[in-house]
Amino acid sequence: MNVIALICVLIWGYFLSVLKRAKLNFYFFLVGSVGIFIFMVIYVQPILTLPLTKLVAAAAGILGETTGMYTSFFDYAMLFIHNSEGSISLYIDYECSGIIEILAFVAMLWFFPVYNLMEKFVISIAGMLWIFASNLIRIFLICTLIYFFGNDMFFFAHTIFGRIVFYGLSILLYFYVFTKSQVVRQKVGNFNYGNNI
Amino acid sequence: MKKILLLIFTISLSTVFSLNTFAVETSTSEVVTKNTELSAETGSESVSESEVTNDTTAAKTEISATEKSAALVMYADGNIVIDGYFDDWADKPKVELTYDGNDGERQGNISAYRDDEKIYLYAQVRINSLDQYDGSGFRLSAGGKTIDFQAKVPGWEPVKTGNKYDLDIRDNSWNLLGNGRLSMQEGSNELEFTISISSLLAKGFTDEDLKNLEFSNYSYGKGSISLAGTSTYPAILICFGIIIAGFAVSKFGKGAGKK
Repeated sequence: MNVIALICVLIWGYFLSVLKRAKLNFYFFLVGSVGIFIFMVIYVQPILTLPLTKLVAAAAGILGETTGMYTSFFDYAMLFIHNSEGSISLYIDYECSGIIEILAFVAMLWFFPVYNLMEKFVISIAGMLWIFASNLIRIFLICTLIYFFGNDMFFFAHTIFGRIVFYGLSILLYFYVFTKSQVVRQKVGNFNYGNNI
Repeated sequence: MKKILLLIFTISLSTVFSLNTFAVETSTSEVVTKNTELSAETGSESVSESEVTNDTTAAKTEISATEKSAALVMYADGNIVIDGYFDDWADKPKVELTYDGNDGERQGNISAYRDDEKIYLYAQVRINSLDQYDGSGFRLSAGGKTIDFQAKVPGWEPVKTGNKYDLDIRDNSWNLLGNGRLSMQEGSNELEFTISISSLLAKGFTDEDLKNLEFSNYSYGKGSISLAGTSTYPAILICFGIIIAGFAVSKFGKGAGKK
């Protein structure tokens, strides 16, 4: 981390403390999420991208080997689909790995002013697993469509169908974590049973 | 006011993505510039063409290694070394090439790989007589554009079975795109080579084009190998996330955190 980055982090931290003391939750959320996201994209993403791409390829490969539809070369983050019309190698690069979505989710969650620390930790893990699984389903569906309908199906499978499924599942996560639970909590409030039941 | 800030938030994130892409593109263009300078310097020393190629390649490798540490790593490393030994292709997917007829007889196979800086290609093709090599007929298609190229042994001396040779990868205008190695064997030829991403960018391909590639060689046989990425286009999804979370904080934020 160079000096400029360190100064930026200090300024960001100061702004956060001001917003926190002023109880400006919305602004605290915005400034905090953007800052931590940028920080993670610069410093965390390069470290996590390659292991995650290989993990995605390996996990997707289990589905492929089980169904016999495609083969995983997970060391190279690559899936190989052989169909009646030809073959195609799908490589899992950083844009396919889900790393950006995971970092964005975590960034928003950690500055979302509802959950306590333990809840944020648990939801972060659950959310990461959800996004990872959603991405696996997306990749599996793309491979399945290419396997059955040939390479010409790639554009539809990748650009339309796969994304609709992935976006749908991710938005469901956002809705549940950021909206529904908050509405429920505000309406019902926290409650617990007495100690003497 | 909050809606405006939400917009700024979205723009900020988009900017981050742009900066990321910019960083990678800048890195690539710097490599091209440095390579050009080095080529010019080496060329002024009046050495042979093959030496120029080797020096430039060495310089490319050196600069690439330096730049790579600063750039964003997007693709897994294939651990491919262009040395005329083909064991590093053993665990890569291959596509069979066949005669363009009904018999489907195997003519050879082809494989491809790419990382952040280069595209790697392998071909193994059957030959019917000794000392026979044909490096023409390669085609790369990406983003609706195509480029034809050939893998030529530098110089004009005839090739001999049992030997290994350097290869220059040149387009039809004789521009150098990359380099490789050829192994002449009895019954078949094996070759591996690289094409630098920067040379394709200079040819009018874009980064977006080069995410989906298809290689073929009509001289070697019917068949092609495709490499494709399956980006999720994360910016779109993040925008959804911002809107949902931002709305929730804006709408219900007053009581947030209070239990």
